Amino acid sequence: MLFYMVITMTKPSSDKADVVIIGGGVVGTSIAYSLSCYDLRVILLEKDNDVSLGATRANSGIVHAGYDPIPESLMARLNVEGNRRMSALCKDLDVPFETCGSLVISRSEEEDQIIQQLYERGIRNGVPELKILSADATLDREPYLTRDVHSSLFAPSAGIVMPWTLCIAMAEVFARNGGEIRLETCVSGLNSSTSGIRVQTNRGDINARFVVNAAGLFSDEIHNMADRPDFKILPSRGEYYLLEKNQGKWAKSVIFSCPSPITKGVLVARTAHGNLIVGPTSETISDKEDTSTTAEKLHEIREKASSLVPCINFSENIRNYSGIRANSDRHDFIIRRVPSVPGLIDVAGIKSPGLAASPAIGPYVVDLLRREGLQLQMNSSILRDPNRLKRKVVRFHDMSPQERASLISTDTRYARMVCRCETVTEGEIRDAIHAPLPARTIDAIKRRTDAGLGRCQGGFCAPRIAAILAEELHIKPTDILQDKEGSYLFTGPTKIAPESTCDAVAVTKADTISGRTDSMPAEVKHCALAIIGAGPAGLAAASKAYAEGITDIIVFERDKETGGILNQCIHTGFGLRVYNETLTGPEYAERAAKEIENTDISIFTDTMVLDIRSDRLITAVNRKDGLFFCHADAIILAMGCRERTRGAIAIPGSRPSGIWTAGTAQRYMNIEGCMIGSQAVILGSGDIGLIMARRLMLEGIHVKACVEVMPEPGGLSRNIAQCLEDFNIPLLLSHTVTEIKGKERLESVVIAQVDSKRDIIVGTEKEITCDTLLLSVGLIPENELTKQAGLTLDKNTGGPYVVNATTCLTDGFFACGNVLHVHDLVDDVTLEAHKAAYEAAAFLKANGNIHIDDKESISGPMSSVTHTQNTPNSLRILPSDAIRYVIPQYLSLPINNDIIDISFRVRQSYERAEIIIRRSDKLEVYRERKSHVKPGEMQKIHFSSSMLMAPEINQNVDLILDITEGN
Amino acid sequence: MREMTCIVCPIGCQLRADPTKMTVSGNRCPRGRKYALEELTSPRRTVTSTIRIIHYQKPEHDAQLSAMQSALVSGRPMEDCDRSAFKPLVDFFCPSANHIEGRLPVKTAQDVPKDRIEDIMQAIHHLVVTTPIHMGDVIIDNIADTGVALIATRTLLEL
Ligand SMILES: Cc1cc2nc3c(=O)[nH]c(=O)nc-3n(C[C@H](O)[C@H](O)[C@H](O)COP(=O)(O)OP(=O)(O)OC[C@H]3O[C@@H](n4cnc5c(N)ncnc54)[C@H](O)[C@@H]3O)c2cc1C
Ligand code: SF4
Repeated sequence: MLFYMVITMTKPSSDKADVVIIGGGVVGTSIAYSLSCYDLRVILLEKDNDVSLGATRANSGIVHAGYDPIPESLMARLNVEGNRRMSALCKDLDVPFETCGSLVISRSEEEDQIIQQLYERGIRNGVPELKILSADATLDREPYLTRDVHSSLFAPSAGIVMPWTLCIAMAEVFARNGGEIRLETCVSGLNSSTSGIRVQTNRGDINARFVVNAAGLFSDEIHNMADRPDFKILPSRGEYYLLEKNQGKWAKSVIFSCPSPITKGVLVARTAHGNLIVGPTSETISDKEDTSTTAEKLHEIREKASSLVPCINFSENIRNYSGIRANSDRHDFIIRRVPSVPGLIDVAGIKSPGLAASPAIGPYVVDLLRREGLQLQMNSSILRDPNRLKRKVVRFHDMSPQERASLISTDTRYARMVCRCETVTEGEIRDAIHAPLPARTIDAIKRRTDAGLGRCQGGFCAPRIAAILAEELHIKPTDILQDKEGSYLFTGPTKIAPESTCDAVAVTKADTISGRTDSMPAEVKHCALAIIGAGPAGLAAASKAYAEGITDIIVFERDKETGGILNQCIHTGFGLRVYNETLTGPEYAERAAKEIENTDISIFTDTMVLDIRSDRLITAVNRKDGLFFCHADAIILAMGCRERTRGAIAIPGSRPSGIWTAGTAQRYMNIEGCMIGSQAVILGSGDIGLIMARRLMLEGIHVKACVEVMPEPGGLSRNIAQCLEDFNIPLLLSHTVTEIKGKERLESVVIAQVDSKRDIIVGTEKEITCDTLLLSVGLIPENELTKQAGLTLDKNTGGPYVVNATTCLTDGFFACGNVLHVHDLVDDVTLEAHKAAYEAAAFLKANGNIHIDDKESISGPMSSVTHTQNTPNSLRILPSDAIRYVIPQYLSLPINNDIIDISFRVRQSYERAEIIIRRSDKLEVYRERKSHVKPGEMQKIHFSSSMLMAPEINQNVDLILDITEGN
Repeated sequence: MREMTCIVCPIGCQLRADPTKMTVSGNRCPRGRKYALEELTSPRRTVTSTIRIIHYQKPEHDAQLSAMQSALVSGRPMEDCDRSAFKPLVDFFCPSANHIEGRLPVKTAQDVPKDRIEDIMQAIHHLVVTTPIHMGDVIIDNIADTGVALIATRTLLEL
C-alpha cells in the first residue's frame, strides 16, 4: 500500500496509455526501455513491490553465446543478437558485465559427439569465434577442472551479468524519461474493444491501445484473460548454491557439464560480482511461486559440480536459493500478435536464454508494435541529449582512493560505511531510495547497492539500512519489509505493555555521532600504534599499551561508539576475573572505556578501516576527515568476529523474513527496541542463542525449543540452567532444522533427529509453528583486513598465526580477542589484549620507534622476547587430531624463563582427560589431568618454559599438544 | 537429593543438594554452597532488561515529559498518567523529530526472588526516562515492591 502511494504520488490525469506492459522482469523492462525514446505514454504494471522479482532475480546470470537453440528459431536469432548487444547496453547502463567466455566440458566419446553437434549448431546460429578445444587446451584455460576432460566447446562471446541490476537499470531509465511504473498492480482482466484494450487491475482500469504481455510465469493466465487458451506455462524450478568470493577463482569462464538426453548439466561460474555460482537443478513444479530449496536437490548440485570442479568448498556457502523458469509447451519463445485480440502482443515462454536475449527482445517487440500501427516519434529531449538513455551509479566499492576522496568532498555521507562486507556507504543507500525507481525494502536496497549481499548476509548492515529507510520514507519500523509484501521484520516495539494501545518503535537515529571523535588531517598521518577495533580487546590493548609508555595511539572503530558487541549484551556474567564482580556487557564496556578516558589516545569512532597494507599503511574513511591514510609503526588487530549465517549451514526450504542470526536479533531487541516476532525456535545452543532464549521469553516472545545438532550443548552449563531450564524451554540435542517454510514471513520449521554422523533419521521429523528462527551456529573471526594485509590465516582458528601470544608472522602486526580466535569470556579477551599491548610495546621499543628512558617499565610476561624475525627462529606447536586448534601456533627461540600460556579447544568432551605436550622427538615435556573438558569451553594450560629446555631445543623440533581419556 | 548447575561463575559446577539435611556437594567454592541452599529455599535471579529512554531537545513538550516523569517518580504505571499527553510524543521516532526514543539497558541492583520476575518485567514496560543518564543511576528504588532498585547499566548522554 505504502509503496504504491509513494511511487505514483503524481497521479496521471487520465488512465489512458499507448502501451501497457504487463510484467517488470528483464523482458518487460527491456521493452519499456526500448520504448522510452519515443513520445508515447507507456505504463509498466508489476504485481510485486519492485521490478525483477520473478525469474529475473534468481537465475544463473549467464549471457549465453547462442549455440543451444535450434537453428532458424526465434530463440536462436534473439539469443545471438542479444548477446551481441549486451556489452554496449551494460556499458550505457552501468551494469556489471564481463565477457568471460564459456566452456562445455566433454568427458567421454559420446559427449565429444554432443559437443560436435553443439558446435555445428552454433556455427549455423552465427555464434562468433566458436571452437572445439583439446583436453590440454581446456585445462590450460581452466586449470581447476577435473582431469578426465576429453575436449570442450569454447564460446568466447559468452558472458556474465548481474541480471537484476540490468532490469532495474532499464526500469530506472524508462522512469526517468517519463515512463510510468506501477508496482503492486496486478492485472485481473483484459477486455478488448474497438478503441483498444481495457486493462483491469486492483488499482483501477487503464485503456490501452496496445498491451504487451510479458508476465513471465503468469503469461498464460494473462493471455487467457483476453483469448481462448493457446499455450501453457510449465514452471520448472532451478536451485543454486552461491559461494564466497574466495571460491570465485575456480572458474575463469562459465563451465557447463555436457548436457545429455537423460540428465541436464550443471554449471559452475563466477558471478559478475565475483562469487561462485553453482547450479541449477531442473524440476517441474505446480506452484508458480514456490521458490524453496530441497536437501535432495542441493545434494545433487554438490555431487555434479564436484565431479566437474573438484576443489569447490561447499562450506563456503553464502546462500541457497531457487528460481522458477517460465518454460512453455512450445520449443521456441512465443513473441507474436494475438490474432483474435487486436493490440495484444504475447511475449511468453521466455525461458533460458531469455536473459541473454533480452537486449534484443525489446527492439524486436518495438518493431512488432510499429508494424501493428504504433506511431514512433522520437522524443525531442532525447534527440537533443542521447545521454538520457544512459545511467551512472555511484559504487564506492569499485572506486580508486582518489575517486573516493573527491566523492566524499562533495557529500560526506559517502564517508559513512553501512555495509562493511561490500563497502557500501550511506550515500549510496540514500541514492537508491531517491532513484527514479525508488528502493523501499531491505532487499530492494540490496539489489541496487549490494549492501547485505556479502559474507555476513546483512547481519551488520540491515539494522542500519532499516534506520535509514524509516528516516527517509517517514515510516515506522513495523512497516519496513525485507522483501515482498508480507515479509515484515518487526511485530512492534519492545517495552509496550500488551494491553497498551500506543505504538512507538525506536530505531537508533541514523545520523547521531556520539562518543569521542578526534579529527585528523587529510595527508598521511603517522602513529606509533594503531588499534583496529574498539571492542573490549581494542580498548584493553590501548589502555595497557599506554601504561607501557606508548602514548601515540590511534584506535579506529567503525561503530559510532566504543564497546563493540558488549553494548548489546545487556545480561550479566562479565568481568568476574578482570573486575572481580559480575557486570553486564554495557557496564564492562563503559569501564574499559573509562580506563582510557584521561589519556591522549585518539579514538576515531564512526570510522571504517578500508584497507591495511603489509607495510602498515592504513586507509580509513569517516564523515569528518573523509578518506585518509595513516602509517603505523605497529598495528594491533582487534576487529572481533561475525556470526555464521544460514548459508553456512545450508538449511533447505523457502527464504522468508523472520530468520535472524542470534546477534542481529539481540541488537534489534536490546538496542533498537524492536520486537522481532511472537513465537521462536532457536537453532544452536551457543551462548548467544541461549542468552537470547531468555531475553525473548522475558520480553514476551514464546521460545518453543532450542535445537542442537551435536549430542551436547555448545554453550556454558550455567546458561543452559539459567536461560533454558528456568523457562522450561526444551533443549533438543542431536536434532536439527531440516526445512524452513513460509512464503513471505516464516510460518514453521521442520526439525528432525540426527544420528552420530549428523545424518537425519527419517521418520523423526516434526513441524513447529513459529514466525521467528534464531541461528546461533557459531562465530567466525572477522579477518578480511588481516588477509588484505597479506597475513595468512590458520584454518583451525580462522585467525592469523601467532608467535608466543599475539605476535603475527608479519613484522609489526599483533592480534587479540575474537579476531585471533573465538573466546567464550570477555575476561579472557581483555587478558589477551594486555599481552598484545606488551608484545607491541616491546616491538616498538626494540625497533627504536619508541624511546623511553625507563626501559624497566616493560613489565609484562613477554618482555624479553625479541621480535625482529619471527618464523625462522621459532618452534611450532601442533594440535593432535583430538585437538581442534591451539593458540599460539609458534614460540620464539630462544625461550626464556617465562611462563608459557597455551589456549586450545578439543573436539569431543571428556569426563576425565590427560593433556600432554610431546616434542616431535617423542620426549614428553608436560602432562596435566583435567576433568569436565568440553568442546564448547576454551581450555588453558600454563607451564614454565624451562620444561622445554633439556635436551636442547631448536627449530627442528615441534611440540605436539594432545589429549586422551584419563582415568 | 537435587541436582543443579551452579550459575554463579562460568565454571558451572554440577551441584548436589540435599533438601532435608541442607548439605551441598560438587561445589568448588563457597559461593556454590550459598547458591544451592538459596535455590532450595527461595531461588533468586538478577533481572536485566531495557527501558524506554527519550532524548529531549525542545521545551514545547514539557507537559508530556512531566507527566511521564511523575509516573516514573511515583512508580505508577504509565497507564495512570495522562495518555493523551503521552501518545504524540512517542510517535516520533524519526531523527528529524525533537524527541528520539531509544532503549536504555537496566538491571536489578541485587538478585530478586525468581517468582517476582514477571511482575518486574511488567513494571519495566511502563517506565520511561529522559537523557542524560549515567551508569549506576537509580531508575526506581523499589521495583515492583521487591525492595530492590532498578539501575541504569550504561551512560546515555544523547541518543
Ligand atoms: C533457474 C533459472 C536459470 C536461468 N539461467 C539463465 C541464464 O543463465 N541465462 C539466461 O539468459 N537466462 C536464464 N534464465 C532465464 C531468464 O532468467 C529469464 O528468461 C528472464 O529472467 C525472464 O524475464 P521475464 O521478465 O520474462 O520474467 P520475470 O523476471 O519472471 O518477470 C515477470 C514479471 O511479471 C510480473 N507479473 C506476473 N503477473 C503479473 C500480473 N498479473 N500483473 C502484473 N505483473 C505481473 C511478475 O511478478 C514478474 O515480476 C534462467 C531462469 C531460471 C529460472
Ligand atoms: S561453585 Fe564456585 S566455582 Fe563452581 S560454578 Fe559455582 S561459583 Fe563457580
